Amino acid sequence: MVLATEKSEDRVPAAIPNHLKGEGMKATLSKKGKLAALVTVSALAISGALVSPAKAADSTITLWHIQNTDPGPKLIQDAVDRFQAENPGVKVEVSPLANDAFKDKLKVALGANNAPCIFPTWGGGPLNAYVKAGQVINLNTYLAKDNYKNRFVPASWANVTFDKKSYGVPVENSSIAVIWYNKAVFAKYNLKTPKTWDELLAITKTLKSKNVAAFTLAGGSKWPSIMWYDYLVDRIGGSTAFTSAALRTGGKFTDPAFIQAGTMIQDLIKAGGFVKGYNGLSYDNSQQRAPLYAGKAAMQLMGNWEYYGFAADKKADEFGFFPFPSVKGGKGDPTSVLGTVGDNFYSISASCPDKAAAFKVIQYLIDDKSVAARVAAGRIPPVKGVKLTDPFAIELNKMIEKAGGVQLWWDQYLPPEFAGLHLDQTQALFGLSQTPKGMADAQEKLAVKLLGPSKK
Amino acid sequence: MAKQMDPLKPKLSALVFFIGPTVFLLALFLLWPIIESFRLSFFDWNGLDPSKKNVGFANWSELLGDQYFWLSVRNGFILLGMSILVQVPLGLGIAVLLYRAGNRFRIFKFAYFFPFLMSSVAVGILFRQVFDPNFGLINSVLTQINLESWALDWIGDPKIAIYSISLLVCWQFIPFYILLFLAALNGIPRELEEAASIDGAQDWKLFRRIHLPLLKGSMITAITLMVIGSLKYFDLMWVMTGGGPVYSTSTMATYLYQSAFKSYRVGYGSTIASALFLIVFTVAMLINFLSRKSREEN
Repeated sequence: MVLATEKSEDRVPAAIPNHLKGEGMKATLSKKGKLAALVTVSALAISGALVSPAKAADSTITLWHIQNTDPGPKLIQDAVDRFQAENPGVKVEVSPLANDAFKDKLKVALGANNAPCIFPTWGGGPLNAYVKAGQVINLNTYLAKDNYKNRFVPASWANVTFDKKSYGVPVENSSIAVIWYNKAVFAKYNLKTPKTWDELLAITKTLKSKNVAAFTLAGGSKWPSIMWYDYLVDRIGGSTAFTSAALRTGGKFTDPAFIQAGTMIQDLIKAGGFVKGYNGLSYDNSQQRAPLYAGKAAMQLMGNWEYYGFAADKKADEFGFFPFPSVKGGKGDPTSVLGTVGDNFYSISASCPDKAAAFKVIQYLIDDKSVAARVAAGRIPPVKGVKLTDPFAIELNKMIEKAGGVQLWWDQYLPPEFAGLHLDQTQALFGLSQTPKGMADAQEKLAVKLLGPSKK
Repeated sequence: MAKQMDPLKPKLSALVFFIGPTVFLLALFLLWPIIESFRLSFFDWNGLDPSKKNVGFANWSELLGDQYFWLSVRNGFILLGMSILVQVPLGLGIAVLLYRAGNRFRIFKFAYFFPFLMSSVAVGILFRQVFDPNFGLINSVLTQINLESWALDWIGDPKIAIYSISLLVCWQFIPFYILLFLAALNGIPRELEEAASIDGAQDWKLFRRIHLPLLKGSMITAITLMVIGSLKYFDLMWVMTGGGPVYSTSTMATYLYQSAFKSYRVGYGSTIASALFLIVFTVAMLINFLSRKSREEN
């Protein structure tokens, strides 16, 4: 018995191999070696975590998007689920991000060669910067296959095509800036939606006398303010006033149309056209909507996506919209709109390991089921022959179809550094701390520096 | 193997083991980025292109003439001034009250500490609503009590926005200094207080003659932390106004973020980062020098 016990005790360690192995390792490694191993392992772990993203079995497609208003996130997830069901072995990791945070995060990720496979842009200047840096891939071969490109409205390719190469697929919506108005306020004071700037000023005066501001504005977020400037330049100087200045083909940012636009904005401000504190309100927590709901402000110049915000707040029925008014003596086409057809174009990064699969995922994002879901959500997907059902979408779509031109938001059209200046200068203009002339000079100065002098 | 170890001489393996990871991580995440920032400040780079253009001192000369940069520097010093004027007296005052109240009012220690526990982003979003010019808590109350002319546009008016947010920063950080001073007060030997009270020192005199001189070290620590914290401050300015309107609440850190990540000027952003480092380093060294000098004089 004693002998057996001893034997079994001898065997006990052998029955716990891990423990024994651990002891054995410890015994055989010198102390210094152990330490070196430890340091190396931790260093590897750290650098590994920094450099290589997690690898999955077959391939993993990362997808970032900024569709955060219902049913946006579900729409994307449903499309991805359909893709995964039919493409086993490919995993799609979806990350929804907040709009402004996304813009910064994407840029850093691209610069660090660590970009997601699929990500949205608005085309224009920033996308062009990524193209020039070789960070996004040319989609022409994918788009040519089965004539896929033909599925979309031709106008939707304008902002993602550089040198006849397309770098993004229009997916989400058609977005244009319109003037939203509170129907009850308009009815109460017997107002008609204005067709001209002068009518708009008259309404502003009437409302002011009733202690209601004509407009609310999320001026703290800057981009809502530039819609005013960008629209006015278009109405005053025509569509080429901006493009010939931006493309440096003869126009200048100091041309009369730009200065007049600034002056008209400041006149509207001085006439009490904007709600108290407009230059500090933030769009991110919909601060600018509160005065509209409370009847303290009657209108807002904003993208048609505001409709989804109103709908989420159960206020959609209370608001109507009309196009940006014309300006007396202006060269602009009053049907022209500021915005984008295809809003949110999805691109594929150059660092994506499986580009063909990534393109397939994008196709699911805008397949017939996705289109139907977007239509049901009141959106206008940029595909041909789409049957709209939502009365709001139908009305808006008429405006887009009639439009003499669609000018992309300047902050997305221009190179990022210029866009930053345009946003800041417009905020200063609205704050009355910059003159229209001062703003024009600052913009032209940077245009010359970045893009060269304007030549015919 | 038979070599005799000197027990007082640290073993190389121990040195590597204890200091190595720290040195490695500091070098990786602190030293290297600082050096890299200085290097990048001589380039024109948008953060995306594979190649960077060497522009020599162009970024630095632009920085010296950049009104928004100097506005950001000024804002940093406004925040610092407000921090010292508001946080030190209030932090110290509340700490002394809590100290003298002893354990009876422990609940206050928790309550006062609360603002410090909230994330800056949450505070920022919350107070964006509180400061709302039309519907905010502050202006609603002011209107209710017929002080409508005081209902300002707290964070939308460039003239006052920096002060509004600086006050909020103070509100957020006072708890930290309460804690710092409270710890220092608790560290004062009881014998000193007893001896002083036997000599007839009470309340104010006790504070003036015993507590205050012994808190000098903590005071210097507090001010040094405020200098560093204020000059490189970012959180609430970015969350609440994005440095606006028109850079009126911009700090060096938000301006650097704006330049590098919004305007795609990583080279120029690095120049701001380097300048920020130099400014904070100089001011911190100055305080260190002055405090050491005053200690030597004593």
